[in-house]
Amino acid sequence: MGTILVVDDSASIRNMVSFALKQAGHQVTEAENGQDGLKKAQAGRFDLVLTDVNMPLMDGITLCGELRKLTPFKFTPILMLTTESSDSMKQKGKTAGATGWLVKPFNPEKLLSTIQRVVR
Amino acid sequence: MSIELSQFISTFLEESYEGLDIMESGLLNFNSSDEEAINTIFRAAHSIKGGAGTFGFNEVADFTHDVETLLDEMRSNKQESTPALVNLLLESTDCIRALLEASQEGPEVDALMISQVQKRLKEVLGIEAETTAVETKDTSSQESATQHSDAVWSVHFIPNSNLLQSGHEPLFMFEALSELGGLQIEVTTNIFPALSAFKPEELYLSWELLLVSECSEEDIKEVFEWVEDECELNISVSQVPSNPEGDIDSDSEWLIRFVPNADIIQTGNDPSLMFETLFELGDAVVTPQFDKLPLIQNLSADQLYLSWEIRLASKCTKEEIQEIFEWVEGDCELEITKLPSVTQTTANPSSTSSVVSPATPSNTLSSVPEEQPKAVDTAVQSKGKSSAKNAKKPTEASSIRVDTEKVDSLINRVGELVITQAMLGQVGADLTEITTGPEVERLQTGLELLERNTRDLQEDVMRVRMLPISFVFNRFPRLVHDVSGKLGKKVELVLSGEQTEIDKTVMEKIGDPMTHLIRNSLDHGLETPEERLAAGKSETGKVELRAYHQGGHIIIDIIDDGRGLNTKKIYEKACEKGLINKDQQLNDQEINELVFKAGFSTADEVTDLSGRGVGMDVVRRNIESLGGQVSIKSEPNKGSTFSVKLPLTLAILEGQLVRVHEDTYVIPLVSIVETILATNSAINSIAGESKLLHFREDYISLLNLKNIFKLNTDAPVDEKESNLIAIVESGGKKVGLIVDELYGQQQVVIKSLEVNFKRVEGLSGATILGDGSVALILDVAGLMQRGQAFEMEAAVKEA
Repeated sequence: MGTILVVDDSASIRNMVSFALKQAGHQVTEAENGQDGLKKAQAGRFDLVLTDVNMPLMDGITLCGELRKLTPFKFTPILMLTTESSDSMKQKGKTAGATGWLVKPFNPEKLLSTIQRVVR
Repeated sequence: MSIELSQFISTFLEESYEGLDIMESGLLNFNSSDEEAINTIFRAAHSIKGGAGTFGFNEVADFTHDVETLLDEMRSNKQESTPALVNLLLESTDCIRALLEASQEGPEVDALMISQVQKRLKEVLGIEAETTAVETKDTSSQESATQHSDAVWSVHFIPNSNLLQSGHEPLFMFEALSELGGLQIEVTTNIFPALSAFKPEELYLSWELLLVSECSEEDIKEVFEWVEDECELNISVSQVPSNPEGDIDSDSEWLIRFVPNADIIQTGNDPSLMFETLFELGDAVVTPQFDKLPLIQNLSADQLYLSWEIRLASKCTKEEIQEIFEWVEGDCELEITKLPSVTQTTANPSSTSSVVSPATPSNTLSSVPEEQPKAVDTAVQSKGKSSAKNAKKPTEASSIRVDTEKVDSLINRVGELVITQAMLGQVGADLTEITTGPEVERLQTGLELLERNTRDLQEDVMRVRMLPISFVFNRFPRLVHDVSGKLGKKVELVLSGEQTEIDKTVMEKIGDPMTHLIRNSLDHGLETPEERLAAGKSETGKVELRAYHQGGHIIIDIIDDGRGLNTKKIYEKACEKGLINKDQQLNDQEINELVFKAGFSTADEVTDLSGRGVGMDVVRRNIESLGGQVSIKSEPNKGSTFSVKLPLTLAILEGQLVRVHEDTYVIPLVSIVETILATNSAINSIAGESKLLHFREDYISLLNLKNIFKLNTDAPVDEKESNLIAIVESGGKKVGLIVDELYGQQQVVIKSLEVNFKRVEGLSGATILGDGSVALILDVAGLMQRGQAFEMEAAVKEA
């Protein structure tokens, strides 16, 4: 079971995601936006980062780029939670170093089966 | 695992309403050059859409999708941000709000409004309006219906060699099967004996049948019912027809060549985990390739030098395999090839041939349950999904909905407790006067504690009914936007103190008077941009709403920087309407107060906005009925300020206790202007019982409460040398109340007379004092009317 950082400015989505992850036995740290996420990432160790794309203060793509600059996050899977399933957004994420993405809306089952692909 | 999504819905709603407020205020202050502002609006819409989709608010999600798209086009300058678009977006926020409210037992949504706004959105976006939300839903449900109904049945039919001898004809059975759905027949000839051993009566064939049908297993078994004991029959159901061209039942073999770029692990993707996902599709053999491995001294820990060749036996589609590698698409070379199909028969010929001997039915059915759990599993899953989608009602975790009646009854009960506590306090005080001792001290300490706890409890309970004034304020940005648009004026609205809390009942009733005052400021107070420029002011006028607490009251100021009240015009109008006499000398303040008089309106023409037949007198009356007051300050060319003073709650009153004859009365502190000791010389008697008090160059009528309430009038007022008079004000009119003694000021808990007794003119309620006695609370406006009636009665009697 992993330690997971969940970054999303929407409390309802964040709560849902972290609830589902905790139910599955993961440890979860929540952050409200990219800036908060970066701060929390620096303060801890994570096996996976799940981040929203559109957020105030710092968006998910910037966060992704910033995280990749940090040595402990060099190999850490980072998944984008995005409603934009368009290729341009995926590409932007990839370029910034994202591992993969999860297209909203998703349900907890989909979330858990997806993260299986990067965390066991 | 199933997770109840409904628990997150209240949070979702909360943040959605917040998001709508952000959108609305952002749109109201819209400035197309402000990139961050439009991003903020976009983000709010985006979040609402995302949450709505996740938590099953599909209509909201569909509607917001178009709003989001429009915002996206605006921020990327694909659409010019015209005021018309901004207005369309504002209307859209109304629609989203209505949809959300409707889903929470709110008012029925105006479907016509929604569909019209949606249509306009789609027009702007250039999307055909016919792909409406409802239709999309229909197709998706149809799709899922086909998914559930049409299954692919794989039937492995191995008849005993003597089947023909009992008169059966396999081909007829297949015909019957084909009536159930599309049938594909493949014959297996691998149990043919040597030609020398061939017997013409025997049957050496077996069949692989693929049936695409919505039938049940029973339906298929029925076809083979008569040969049940003479064959081996394996019936299994596989998923949706994934590959209509055929070859569906058996595993296909896939060859996957996966050559990742050396830096792939730096994207967080781990090949071994991908393979694990791959294993879920079927059996796979993974063979690593080392051909890219460099010399050991050149190895870098960050790099990956391996590539893989994977053979996968699975019923999956190419897309399913591609999906596993979706995230690394650009970071690797990937070749997926389907190898020539391998059926179970060819892959495992020996086992098939060994089954020629008669098999028992129980044995033959053994492969069926293998697939069944899967089917059940998906059924449960989809059921869980749909129940989550239907769960629109929130389980309110952080707040609970309580009937206001319950809260009121609680407040009432606490009011009783306060009275009881005051009584006990009185008894305690009396006791300490006659005796001392440790017991009395302990009692006293206990009573003090009781007093403090009671007061805290009362405050807490009162706060249950309190809400921030922002609930009222929030409707005004939109009002100002709409009204100023109609008037052609530029207006900036400034809100402050939105978090100031106020009783819910007061808040519900203050909305309309406030709306009127703001409309008034916009319409009459603020000038047109041209007038403002001519007067040396900035083009944009300012209206400020400011709420704050002041001494147990909440004050709401409505401040404009407009032209101010025109005292001359008001004076003339008041004379004309007969509200004042020509010879009456009034100062500016008094003239300004005239606008609150009934039957006063200075607007040269009745406009669509302020002049709705509701005058400022009604505003004043409404505010006073809440136990509040409204006042006005104005300076020519600088602007006007309307000040509304309201009690924090309607359950408690700050009162002045007075004695009249033998009874105690409570005068609301808010209506008292002054209390004076007036000598008889200042009191002039006019016709009969009426008396006038000469007070600050003004004559105000005096009301003798003894007469009005028909108390024992043994001691006539004029026999005293001087009288204690409380000057009270209501509706801009002052009267003096003659009282015998002033007691202290205190908070009293209001008890309704109407509920407990009956409505009495001149009294707004009653309260119970610390000594247990009842004191009546005076209603000043009612008293004035009662006083007038009384005087008229007296005058008639006299005549």
